[in-house]
Amino acid sequence: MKNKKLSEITLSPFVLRLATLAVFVVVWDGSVRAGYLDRLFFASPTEIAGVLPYTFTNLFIPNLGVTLLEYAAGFTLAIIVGLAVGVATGTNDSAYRVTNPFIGLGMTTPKVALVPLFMLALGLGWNSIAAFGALLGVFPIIINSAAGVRQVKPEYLAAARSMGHSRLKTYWKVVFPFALPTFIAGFFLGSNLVMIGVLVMELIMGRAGLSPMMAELSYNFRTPELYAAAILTITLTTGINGAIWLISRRMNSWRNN
Amino acid sequence: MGADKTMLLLSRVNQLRLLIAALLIIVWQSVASLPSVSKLIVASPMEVLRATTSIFLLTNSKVPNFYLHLQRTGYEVFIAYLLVIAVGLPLGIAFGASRRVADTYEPLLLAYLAFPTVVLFPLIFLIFGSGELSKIVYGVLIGFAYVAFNAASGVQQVEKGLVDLSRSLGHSRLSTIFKVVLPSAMPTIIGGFRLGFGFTFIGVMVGEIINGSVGLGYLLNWTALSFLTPELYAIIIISIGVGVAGDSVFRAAENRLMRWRY
Repeated sequence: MKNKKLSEITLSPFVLRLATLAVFVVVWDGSVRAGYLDRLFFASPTEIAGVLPYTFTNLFIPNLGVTLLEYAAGFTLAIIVGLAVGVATGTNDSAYRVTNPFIGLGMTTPKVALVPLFMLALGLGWNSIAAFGALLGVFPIIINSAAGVRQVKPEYLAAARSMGHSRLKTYWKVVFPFALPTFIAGFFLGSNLVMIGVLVMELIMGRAGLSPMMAELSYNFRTPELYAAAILTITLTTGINGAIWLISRRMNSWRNN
Repeated sequence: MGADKTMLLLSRVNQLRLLIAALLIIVWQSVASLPSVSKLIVASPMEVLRATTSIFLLTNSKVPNFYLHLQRTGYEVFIAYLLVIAVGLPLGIAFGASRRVADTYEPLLLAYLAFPTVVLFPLIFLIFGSGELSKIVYGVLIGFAYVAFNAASGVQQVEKGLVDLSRSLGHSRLSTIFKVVLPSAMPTIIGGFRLGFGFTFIGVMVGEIINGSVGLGYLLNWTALSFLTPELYAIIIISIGVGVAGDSVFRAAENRLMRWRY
């Protein structure tokens, strides 16, 4: 009986996952130490851990502000435009049908092709980076906002109107609370894409921010610092994702009661 | 009567769409002809049309060897996409076929999908250099997870009854996967192929823009930095056209498979 429980614990998905990661790290560390992997291109986990504090205070923190500013500006712009367009087209059925193919085209267009246009029109500053991030992030927000508004049951709208709510109040009291989870799902997708857009654009322009910092580490073959910086950046984006997820759970908690 | 009415509405919707497209072109033309708008930033539709045709006919003196670039991008996307399917599909099928594998490793795949892969580009550049290999690797890293994810959910959605029936009719595990599981998961898998193609194409283009010396992405960057604005617009339209054309091929395949199902 006790034995069975032990095997259940050791074979649980969580433990297996940790074990796989541990084996991966150990094999990686061993291959670098033994010289199977070239030290010029691969840093061992212990080396990376060693340079992590230095990378954090001297490379990551000084470049964090620019990237976060670009991300925040881009995400705000994407939310404002995305909600406005999404709610407007989601409310009106013929507007939805007319604009839908354009939104779909915007979603499938490889938008990196437009990067040079942003450089020409807005220059090489933070605003053109933020604008490109917003362009990437706005489409899932539009699609989800429209979908959220269209999901509201017509009976609810009729009830609100018949109880004398104005159009604006109906939106505020009925439509938005009902559509909120779908909105937030769009924000979640959009936030990710804004961050990708910002990091790609920074890398292309190569001035300030986290991406240029990492590119420079790569050009100078400062391999351990490069791995450490990549890990820190991934942690940052995972943290932002987690924060949005927590907020969305908070906002939805009334539903479960 | 009802059918007539929907037909009429559909055609009106299409008319409105055409009207919007025409309006956009007119706005574009008038913005381009404003004296306060710099010719370096906005090229007029006519100029762009002329640049596009001359680039295709190889008579454009600024972009003289367009097909060389197109061929390189096509080659990189083709190899990367083959690898995306070769890696993503078996991975997804493994996730879908075994509960334990899925429980254990799917969270890792989701975490991978959630972080911006651009972070890895400097690393890829460091390891694979600035040639075509780094673009191919980057395209694969961006694309494979979508194929794997969709294949996994497609396989997981297959009705258990169908699998049991096939097993009880004496099919082996492998032949059940090929005869029952894959055909019935096909629409979702093709959906993943479609997503994967889009992202692989984007990955290759990003790589070329960042540090390419040949390819559509390189042409984009080069025409922008040289202020060859009509050529830049032409290359943008061609690149978007390639991406959208690839996407619509997969969408047509998806629709066809869906029709067979229902």
